[in-house]
Amino acid sequence: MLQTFLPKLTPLSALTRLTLIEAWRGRSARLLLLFLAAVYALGAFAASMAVTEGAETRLALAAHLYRLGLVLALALIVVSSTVRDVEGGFFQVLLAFPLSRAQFVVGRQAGYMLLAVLAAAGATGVMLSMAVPGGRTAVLAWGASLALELCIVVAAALFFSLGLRRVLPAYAGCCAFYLWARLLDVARFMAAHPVGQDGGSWDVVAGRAVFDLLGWLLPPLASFAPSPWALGGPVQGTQLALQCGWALWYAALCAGASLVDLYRREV
Amino acid sequence: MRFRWRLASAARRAPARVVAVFMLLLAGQVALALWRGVPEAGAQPLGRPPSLAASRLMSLDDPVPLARMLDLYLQAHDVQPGLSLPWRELDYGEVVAWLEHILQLDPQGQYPLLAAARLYTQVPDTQRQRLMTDFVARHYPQDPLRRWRWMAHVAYVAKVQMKDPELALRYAAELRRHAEHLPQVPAWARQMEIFLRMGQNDLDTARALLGALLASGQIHDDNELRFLTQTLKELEQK
Repeated sequence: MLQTFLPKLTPLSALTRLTLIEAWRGRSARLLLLFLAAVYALGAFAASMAVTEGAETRLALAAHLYRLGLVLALALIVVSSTVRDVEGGFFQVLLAFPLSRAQFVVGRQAGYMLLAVLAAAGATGVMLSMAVPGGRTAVLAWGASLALELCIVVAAALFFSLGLRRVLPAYAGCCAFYLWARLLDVARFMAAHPVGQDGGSWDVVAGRAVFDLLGWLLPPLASFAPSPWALGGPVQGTQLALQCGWALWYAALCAGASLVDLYRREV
Repeated sequence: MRFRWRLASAARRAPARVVAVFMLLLAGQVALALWRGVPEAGAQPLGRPPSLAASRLMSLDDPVPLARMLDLYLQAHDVQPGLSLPWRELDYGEVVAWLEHILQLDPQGQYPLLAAARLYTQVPDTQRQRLMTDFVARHYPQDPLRRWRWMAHVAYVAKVQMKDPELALRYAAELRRHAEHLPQVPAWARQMEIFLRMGQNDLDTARALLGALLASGQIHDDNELRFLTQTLKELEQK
């Protein structure tokens, strides 16, 4: 089917294009625009209440809400469309064509990551319009970092949805993944410095080991899209480069994990 | 393709009983809302701030937006600073604790210091004013480049509002000590100790300080500019 209607496209690019078309037809773009406008208005209201640093208040609030909103929305889009593919039989139809499971996973993931980049670009565009003087470059860096964070989230959402194959467990798993990835640094710090407990007791040691293990498995999302960058603060190029490498590596890791699970199952 | 207001092909309608029950329920909802009335913004107790770790957890380890939201939350507890009932119900010890907490979450933010120096010192209570001026003096040395204007303001508050010229001189000396090597701090601020010693009257001190702040070009926020200009006008009308 893919080769009949899109003979010039490779299977991967056709699947990526299909993913974007599905997102467009699901009215995601219109909802995204509505969301961007609503946060913009909320930020303007908060800035009008602030006695000073109104622009910074608006930027900080908008940065936080855009990040949280886009993460939750994109995770839901990925989970719901993947579960629909699997339960509705579309996944089986696709695999009936000369399309390997690896091509399916990589193509879908590429499509969702492109969607994430577009969403981050929209949020960055709005943030640029609110940027403090001299802070546009930092806002662009924040936008790039947000895009990388969203890429990790959609890759993880695809992994959970292919593995769990139900909307609620997959979405809950993705949200738990995101929460732990963001709170990792705080949790490890609290585990390393227990208050009112004996540092050598078995429960403290076990807790520290658990958080260390999570630290090996989860990406440090707290360092992605930091709010000081949105406020025009100094940007460390090496940090952004490290985030880029880490995001691509982790997305590949999620794709690998999805494939290990997918190849084990009967379709 | 023509645009139509109504779908001509709508063949089904809801039964009248269903519509009637729905309208009744909607009327009940509106009646409940009217009975409840508009909630009044009473002076709720502020309480103690959470721990820094708890705040970082609540904010998903993104403390800066949380600090901004807490600024507005704290501000909503005293909309008319020092002039109406709500400030009497504020525990200034708790207010200082919240300002410290917000500053820990976002050390670059100036809002807590502005609130301490300009808003909460407007209450006619020397003890409360002293809590705020000491808060600013405690945090000024950590970042004198950004915080010098709050220190200048508390020196003015000490002289003009608290009528304590010795305290004003101590604050001005502290301002000079940490700003001597900073050319970005205006000369009039670094030399504030001198003109305080010159024994000007309160109105001239206020005019000199607030006028210099306005003329310095360091204030960019419209709300802050409006606030300072209004304060100067009120002083001149006294």
